[in-house]
Amino acid sequence: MRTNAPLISIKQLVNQFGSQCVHDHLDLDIHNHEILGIVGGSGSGKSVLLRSILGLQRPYSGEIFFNGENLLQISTEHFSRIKHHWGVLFQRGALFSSLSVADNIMLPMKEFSPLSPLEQKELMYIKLNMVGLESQVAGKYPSQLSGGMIKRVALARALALDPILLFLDEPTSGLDPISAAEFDELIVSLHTNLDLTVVMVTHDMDSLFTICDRVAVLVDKNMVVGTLPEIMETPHPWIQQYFGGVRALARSVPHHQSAPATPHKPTGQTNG
Amino acid sequence: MMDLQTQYHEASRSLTLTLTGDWQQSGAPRIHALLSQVPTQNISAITCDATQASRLDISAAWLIFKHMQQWEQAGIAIQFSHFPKEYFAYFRQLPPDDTATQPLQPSAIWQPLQEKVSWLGYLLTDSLTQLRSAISFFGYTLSVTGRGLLQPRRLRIPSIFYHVFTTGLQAIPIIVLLACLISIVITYQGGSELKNLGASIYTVDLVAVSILRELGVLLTAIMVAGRSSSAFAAEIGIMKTNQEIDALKVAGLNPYEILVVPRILALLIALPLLTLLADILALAMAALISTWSLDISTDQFVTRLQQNIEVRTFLAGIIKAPFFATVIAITGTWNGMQVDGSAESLGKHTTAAVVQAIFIVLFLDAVFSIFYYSIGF
Repeated sequence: MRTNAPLISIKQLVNQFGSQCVHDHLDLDIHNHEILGIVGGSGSGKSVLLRSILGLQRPYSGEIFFNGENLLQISTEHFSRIKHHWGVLFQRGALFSSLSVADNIMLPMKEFSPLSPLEQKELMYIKLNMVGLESQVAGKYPSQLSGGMIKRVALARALALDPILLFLDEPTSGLDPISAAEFDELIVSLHTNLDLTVVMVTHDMDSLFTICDRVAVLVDKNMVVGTLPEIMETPHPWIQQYFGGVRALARSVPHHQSAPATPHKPTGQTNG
Repeated sequence: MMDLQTQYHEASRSLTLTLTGDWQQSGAPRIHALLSQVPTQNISAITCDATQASRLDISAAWLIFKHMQQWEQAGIAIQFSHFPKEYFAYFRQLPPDDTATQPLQPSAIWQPLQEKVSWLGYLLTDSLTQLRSAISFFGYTLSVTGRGLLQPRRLRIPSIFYHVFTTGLQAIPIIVLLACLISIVITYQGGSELKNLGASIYTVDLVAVSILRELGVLLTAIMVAGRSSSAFAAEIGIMKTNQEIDALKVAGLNPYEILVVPRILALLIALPLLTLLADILALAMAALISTWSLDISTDQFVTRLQQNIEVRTFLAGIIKAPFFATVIAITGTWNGMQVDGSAESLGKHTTAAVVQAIFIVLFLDAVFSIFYYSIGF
């Protein structure tokens, strides 16, 4: 099923609020079966871009194609049918606080799948397994969960209908480095096993370096897209500052088998 | 389109099921249909091959897995070929289906009865805990308010005036409307009866006493309870959900001093003023109606009012306003503090704030009536 045509193609997208322009004729292609990281400074319009694709916000002008269909021109019913194949993980989880974890995950299945209640329940437990949660969590309510667990449950809900396209809004923010690394592994494993296309907005350098196939940087109201080495070659000052920062350097240095880097050792030395 | 190709191997009496096309969750009925058609008589082994499937999502794989397990239980050797290995890891360790394994209770009568009794007990202890929490909240708030009044530096003056604005000034239009309407009701209803008796001048006494002593303050309080008690509960409830209360505590600030006390003081200022406004407008409206419809001139109305109505009639009403204000503010803020993070609990406590505020206002009003009667006020 893999074709060369992009899964999502954004053409000449313009978003503006009043006189403030957020996206100025932005182009972006999202290919099948890739993990695309979207990076940008605060206020650069990452969330607005995501909201535009998801249909939560109508862009000022431009076109967004999914499998060749213009999402801005199709009917609402057709768009919601398309969205059954999409999973979205919101930044703060956006779990329904009045529903238990089990009901949160089963809600999309109850509404849109032809599965029997027993099968829904079994699959709910499978999704919990997939995101690395114990089955006892199923009976709890979102207010009883930790931040990391909320993200995992939200991911399980995003996976409920076995989507082909997964949007993640800062999936690892607010997680400790170990959980974040686990979450990255989880996404890679889902990506390979389920043939998922993943679009993630992230600030996590680890995620960018370890799991993203391509990186799209939002600068000057437009996109710079490429593989990570290509992006790091780009002379744009913001990109240079972002990826040239000490924290990024520390990660691009390969681990020395002989001498593990001591925490207070200046990064410049390790690099040279 | 998903399909299934069945291949029979004579020598080993085995079947190979080859999956083709897209096997996905939305095709669940077709998956069941295809797999239940597989002939399993005299078969010793089944291999399911996913090599040619263009897509096999985990739900479809699970449905296939369950069918294969059924065949395995029937004594057929099963094998999966080219299924993603990780899927099987997710399939293990499913908790047993609790609905099916629950044993039937022999005590079909005692069990529900026991449950009801324990539920009753739970309800009682729960409401007692609630009551205790409300009383301690009330006491603590009073002590914080008292401390604030002794040390005015601790009072948040801008905050108080902001809440006077939202609960008082912004309520003026609706209170004006309410006062005029209730005055119209009483004056016409009472006036027509008294006119029949030839005593239409007594309408002045009727309107003045009922508005000043009772209806002016009571209806204003009920309106303010509906407007502000719910607003207080929702504001504080959302702040609690957003951990803003925790943030205040951590910053060394007392959330009661910042959030609760200004609201109480604001209502203590706003409600008596609103009551005064309601009283004045209701009487003015009554004077107007009397001139139009009951042949009582404005002069007559005012003179009658001055002769027959004492200041204490007005006082009997307005004295209640601060008590009602405290009740409304406390129920609103207390319910806000009870919110535990879910949207449902926010709704529940916002509703409870209004219901409790109105109930306690009416209850207090009844207590006042008995009290006034017994002291002859």
